[in-house]
This record gives sequence, C-alpha cells and structure tokens, in this order.
Amino acid sequence: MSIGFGFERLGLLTLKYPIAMAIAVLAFTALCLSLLPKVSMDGDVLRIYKDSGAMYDRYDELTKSFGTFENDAYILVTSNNIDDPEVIAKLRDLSFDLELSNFASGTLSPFSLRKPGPNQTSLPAVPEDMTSRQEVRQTLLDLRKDDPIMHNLIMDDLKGIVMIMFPNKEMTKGAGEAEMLKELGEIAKEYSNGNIEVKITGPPVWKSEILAASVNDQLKFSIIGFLIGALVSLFCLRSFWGAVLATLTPFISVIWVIGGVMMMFGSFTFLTNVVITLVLVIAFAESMYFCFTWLRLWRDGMEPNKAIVETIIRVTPAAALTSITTMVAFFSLTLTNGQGIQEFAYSGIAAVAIAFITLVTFLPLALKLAIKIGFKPPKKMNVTVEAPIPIAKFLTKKYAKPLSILSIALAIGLLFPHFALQPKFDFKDYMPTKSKAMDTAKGIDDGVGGVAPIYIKIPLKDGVENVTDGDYLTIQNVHKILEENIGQGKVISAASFSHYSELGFSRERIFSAVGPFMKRRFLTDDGTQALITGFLPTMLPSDELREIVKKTDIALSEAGIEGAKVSGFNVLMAFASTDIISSLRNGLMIAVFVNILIIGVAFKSWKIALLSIIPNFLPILGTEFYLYASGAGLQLTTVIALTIAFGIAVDDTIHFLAAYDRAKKSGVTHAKAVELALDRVGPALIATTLILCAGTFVIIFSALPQIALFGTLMVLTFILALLGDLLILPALLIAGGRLLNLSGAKKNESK
Amino acid sequence: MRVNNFFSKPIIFAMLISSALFITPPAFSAQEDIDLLNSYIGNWKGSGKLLRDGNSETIRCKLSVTDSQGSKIGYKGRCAVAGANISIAGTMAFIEEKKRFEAVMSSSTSFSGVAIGNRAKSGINFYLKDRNAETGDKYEIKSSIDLNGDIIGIDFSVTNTTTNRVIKANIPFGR
Repeated sequence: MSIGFGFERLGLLTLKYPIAMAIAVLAFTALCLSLLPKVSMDGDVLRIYKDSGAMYDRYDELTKSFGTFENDAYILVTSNNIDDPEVIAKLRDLSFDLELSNFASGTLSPFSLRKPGPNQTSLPAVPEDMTSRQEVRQTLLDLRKDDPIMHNLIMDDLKGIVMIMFPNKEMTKGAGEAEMLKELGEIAKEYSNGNIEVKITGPPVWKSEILAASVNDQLKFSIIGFLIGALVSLFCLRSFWGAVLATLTPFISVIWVIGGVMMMFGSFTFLTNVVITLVLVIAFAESMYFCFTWLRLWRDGMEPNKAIVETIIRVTPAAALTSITTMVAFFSLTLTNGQGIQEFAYSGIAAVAIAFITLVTFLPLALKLAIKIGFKPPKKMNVTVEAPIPIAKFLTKKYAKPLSILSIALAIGLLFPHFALQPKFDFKDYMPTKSKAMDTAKGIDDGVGGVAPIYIKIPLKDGVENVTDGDYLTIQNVHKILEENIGQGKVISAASFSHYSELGFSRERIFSAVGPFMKRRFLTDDGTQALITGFLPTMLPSDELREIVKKTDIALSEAGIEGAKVSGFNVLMAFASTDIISSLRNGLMIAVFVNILIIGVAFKSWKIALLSIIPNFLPILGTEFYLYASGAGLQLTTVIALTIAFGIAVDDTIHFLAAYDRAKKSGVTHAKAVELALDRVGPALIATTLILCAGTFVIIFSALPQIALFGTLMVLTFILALLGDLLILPALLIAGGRLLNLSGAKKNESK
Repeated sequence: MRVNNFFSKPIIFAMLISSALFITPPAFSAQEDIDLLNSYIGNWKGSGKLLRDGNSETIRCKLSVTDSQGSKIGYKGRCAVAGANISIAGTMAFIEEKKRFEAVMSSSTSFSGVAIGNRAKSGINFYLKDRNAETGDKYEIKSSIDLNGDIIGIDFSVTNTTTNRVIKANIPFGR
C-alpha cells in the first residue's frame, strides 16, 4: 500500500479510460456550471448558531414565546429642532409610516406609546397639538424622567429620538428583508431634510452590509487573486500554456465545489463560503506540484504521456495523503454542535475530496489534451524558484543541529501565546470599515446608551391576564436585578409603569392603555410568562456582555427566581461564537495529532511522524504569535485561517517527505535523500508559495477587517510553512535522522 | 375582560367602511364602473384626526389598490394610531344584477363582512350589511366620501347606540 492508501489509482483509472472519464468530468462540470446562477449566500446568521448549545436553546424558547428579535431595525432621528411643534408632528408621521410598513409587525417609539387618561380613556404618550417649543421641551423631558421606555428612546439633550421597528417574520423571509430595507431607506429619505436627519441601523442593515461587502470581496478578490496567481504561474513556469494548465485545475475545483455545496445545502453561509478559498489554495498547491513534476520528468527526457503516468505514481499518493489529513481536520469539526459548524465541516470534507478528484481526473486529461494539441514544455523554470534551494541545502547541511534545536526551542516558546490566546468575538469586528450603519449605532449608543436588547424570560406562577400581585412582585424583582447589572433606567418590563401606578391607575388600566402590542412585549397573552428587556450599547464588547449575563444569572439564582433565562440575539452571538471558536481550535489541535499519526502510518515510521510535528505546528504557532502580539485574538476568521495554515503546512510536509522517502528507497544516503527532496520539491514549494501569497495578498485590502486579517494570516502562514519545509524539516531530518537512526541513516551516512 | 385599546370594534367597522368608500366611485354601467374602479389602482396615503371622548389624535393610513380578476379590484390597507394598527384587505366589484357596489373585507382582527354601496349625489353611501355579532354591541355608522381630483376625503362617525359614545374621523388621502 502506498502512502496515499491506494487513492492514486483513480488517476491511473482516468488514463486507462480517458474518454469515459472525460465524459464524466464534462458532465459534472456542466452540472455544476448550471448551478452557478442559483448560487446564493444565506445571510441568516441563526443558521450558523442553530443547535449550538444552551444559549441557542434559550434564544429558541424566547422567540417561541415572544417572537423573533434578530431582525429589529433601529431608526435614529436627529434634529436641532425637536422641540419645534411642527418637527414633532413630522416625527409622529414618520413613526406611523414605520408602523404602516407591510414589513412591520409593530414599532416602539415615543409616538407608539399610550398612557392612561381620564374616564377610562387612553391618550398618546406624546401629546398632540402642542403649540410652543417650551411646551414640547418640557413634555419630552418629563416623559424621559418618568417613563423608562421614553428614557431609552429620547436623547437627554433632546437632539434625537430612537424608533425601533419589529419586522414581520413571514414578510422578511428570503428577499423580503432586502425589500424591507429598501422601503425603510425610502421612508428615511422622505423625511430627511435640512432640519431632520433619519438614519437606519440594526441587525438587518448590518447583515446586509456584511453580505454586500462579502459578495463584493469574493467576486473582486477571486478574480484579481486568480489573475495574479496565474501571472505568477506564468513567471515561474515561463510558459503561457503551462500557466494556463496549472491554474485550470483550481478553477475547475472551485466550480465543482460551488456546485457540490449547492447540491448539499442549497446555499452558502458565511462559513461555507470560506471553503472556496480553502479549495482554491489546496488545488493550486497540488496542481503546481503535479505540473512541476510532470514538466521536470518531460524535460529530463521522459515521453510526455508516460511522464503523466509517472507523475500520478509519484505525486498523487502524497496528494491523497494530504487530502486525507485535511479531511480529518474537517471531520474533527463535526464533533462540535451547531448547524453552521456542521455544514462547514461537511462542506470542507466534500471540498477537499473534490479538489483531489479534480487533480487526478481533470488535470491528467487536460495535460493529455495539451500534448495532443502541441504543447511544448518550457526549457527551464524561472531561476527565482530554484535560487533559494542551494542556500537551503547549505544551511540545513551545515547548521542542521542548531536549526533543529532553534526550531524546537521556538516551538516550545511559542506555546505561551498559544495557550494565552483566548476566543474573542465582537460583532463590530465583522462590519465593513466606514460602515454608516455602525456610525448610526454608535450615535444611538452615545445618545440613549444603546438599544441592543438583552432579555430575561420568566415563568409566572399564577398565569392570569393582568398578573397577580405575587407574579408582579417577581417581575419587579427581576427588573431590579437586571437594572443593577446594566444601569438605572435601562430596563423595561411590565413593572416599568410605576409612575402611572403612583398616580392611582390600576395595572389593568395601565396595560389596557399601553395597548396589546406593547403588552405582548412584556407578557404572553395567557399571562404565564413575562419578559424583562434591558437596553445595552451595540458596541459593548462581547466579554463584557458575557460578564453581565453571568452576573445576572447568579443574581437570579440567588434571588430564588426559578426558570428565569437570560437571552437575546447579542447574547447568543457572544456565547455561541466563542464556543464555536473554541471548538474549532480544539478540533484543529485534535486534527494535528491525528494527522501526525496518519503520517506515521502512511510512511510506516513513527520517527518520521515525530519529525513532522515541528514543521506542521510552527506555521500554526507562528500565526498564533502574530495574533497574540497584534492583539487581534482568536476570532472566528483567525481560527479558520489556522485550519488552512495547517492544511498547507501538512501539504508541503507530506510532499517533501514523499520525495525524501522515494529518494531513500532508491538507495541513496540519508543526507543525499534530503538534498534530492529539496531539489525536486523545493522549487514547486517556492513557486506555490509565491502564487498563493500573490493571490491572497489582495485580500488584505478588503473592506471587511476580518477578511483583511484573514489575508494577512494566510500570507504569513504560507511563508512560515515554506520556511518550515525548506529549512526546518530538512534540518530535522538530517539532525534527527542521526539521532533517531532513521532507517539506516548512520549506515548510509558512512557510504 | 375587554381591552380598551384604540382599535375597538367601532373603529374597525368605520375603517373597513371607509376603505370601501374610498375606492368605490359612482356607477354608470358595468364597463364604466370597472374602468373607474381600475382608475383607483395605485398607492394611497392619508393622514387625519380621530376624535373620541373629546380627545383628538392623529390617524394615518395607507392603501394599495391592485388589479384583480375581471371586474374586481383588490385592496390592502393599514391604519395606525399611537399604540395600535390594523390591516385590512378585500376586493371590490360592481354587481351588475344588483346595480350596486359590494366590497368584501377582512381584517387583522376578528371582523370580516360585506359593505354595500349605492350611488348618491355627492358620492356613495355605504351600509353595513353584516354586523359583527361577537360583542353584541350595536353601532350606527355614517360615512361619506369626497372625490376631488387626486385628493380623496373620507369622513366617518361611529356611534355606539348602547353607550352613545361617538368616534369621528376625517382622513384626506392622496396618491
């Protein structure tokens, strides 16, 4: 059995039945191409977190009792003349127009609130027909003072008002959300003038901005990155058609993966989207190895068709082993709960398999076709890709021991940032730079302290429509506990209307006056559950939010309030994201060790496995050091970059070890085998790294900070992986080989 | 216990009647009636004052009139006052045999019914055919409509004959 566990036979099968395989390749490509127009990105962030654990279950329970909260739209209205009666009348119309939107299930604004009036009547909380600025000013200030809801919607300097629109879940499904944002944009435009400024923000706007930037980035960077990659291929191979052949395989791989993911899940998510980049990187690397080896064999005098067969025998076992190790890395993610991560894992497994199949089916067929239509190999590779090899040979031969000791010491030293790095999630990190919606959210944070909600759902014992005194007391207690944790006046609930109670109105009258919609934000219709809502800044860092939740949970427990659950979309994101990040990282660590074992099994040598630990780990540890030193932390994108880093590091290492193993089996000395491996694999490693760095470098200019960071990490990783395989692995093989007595190292050394 | 919110039954009746009035022009012949009905296809918006118990407050409505099958047109509307809103939808048609307009209505509340309209000198008078028997209350509803170019004015009043409480509204609509 070869190191590829026999999977390279698929390549030989392709050459045995080229016509049948070509038909299959074309048919599958056509099928995938037919799915391209249907490609869509599912912006439903909940899909990522679905079934991810306790916080998702809490949120799910909350939405079943009180509706959904993840799509609330916040409208910030600012004016220097809010105390002008005409401006107030205009803002009332704006509030009603929001309420009249087909996409709204309700609104919360100073103008949507009512208060009890005389003779069993109710009146708008903001009185109508006010005639003077003084009257408006005094009224708004009084409302802000007496009513906690108003306190969170009216700015203390009376320069702005916040309105919240609660979207209708059915109407905002699919394309509905974009239509809602369009309508909101039109309303904002209609009411904005020299005197009034209306801005929209909130989760649907943020999601739409992220989606737009992601799609724009993917389109732009895929094309530019691909073109740059192709240009560097041209530079390295010094042949136009050679470059075309090398870049065609990743191109086809991406088409197949897009088709495959669409067939499996119907759409992409923020996470599965990353799989495309991963495949592009892996397919590029494998294709380069394949083409380099083929061209070298051809240049060395082998008949080109025979060189394809020989390349399959030499290169694809290592490619198969690389694919297996990367699939194991993805498979480890299936141990993590959550639909998003599961989809990512299965997409990754499928994508890596597809990339390998493309390599062993499409590429040999493409090469055969190229020979048929008269392709001639370039005489020599570009000197740039071969120039560093003699230096690497010199250094690894002369300084094998110091380099080995240094690399081991470095790896041990880098374990400190590895363990010090903690999962970090901040929603604003995912927003495009210069996001107007984020500026608006900051405006709301500055003006009223934020309207990002945190909820506590509590069961009520008596379950009557207008709440018994006992249940009311419980609501008051929970209201107080949340207020103690997030600030006075930042909480609203059925216990918010103490001002009206003090004026002598009964609970029944107060609930009746606020209206059914508002009442449903506080109590279920059957009176069995209550909701206490706190308002927090959108920009609140997730660790602070988690701390608030933990403290509130403890206080609720100490107060003996049974069944109370703190939740909310922000809370879900803060907890579930860090859980996902931790799981991804743990999965990666498990994968690293499992893969080292697989390398040992494949090469039938635990010593080889042991030696591959350092070059496999160093790119991950080096990248983690950068994250630690730069303060970027372990974020969702960065941990994915680490997964890719590992994939590339393993890929390079396996190809190097395969070449070393082949050389060893040909009977040369241990040191000579290392030299030959450097000669044969080194230029391909350098060319691949150059292409991948050039292709991903453009990502650094993304408008999305997370994607830009991803690009930086990828470039860093590629360089570290190259250094690991050109210097550290050969040094370890030479120094460690002597130490570990790698199959006849000493004996061969003396030859 | 009855919730005293603003969209109590009389208001719902009045809004439904008004929405029917608003898109129901005088009838001359079937084709002319249909053409006239179709001329109201589009989006309408109105804002007015609602008077109840001596208090006045803003009511704002919007209505979308769409082409339906044959001689019918469909409508969908929504009205809002502070703290509440109501959705209404239905179809309008001129019934040749009965020489009158009929509007089928449903709403986001439990109310649904048929309003009947007949030509009058200055517009259409509508009478509620089916009363909502759910609460047992009885309402006297008076409505009128003014068609004046692209501006439509709707007035309605609802009197609870049991309590004698009156609710009145005036809503001018424009495209």
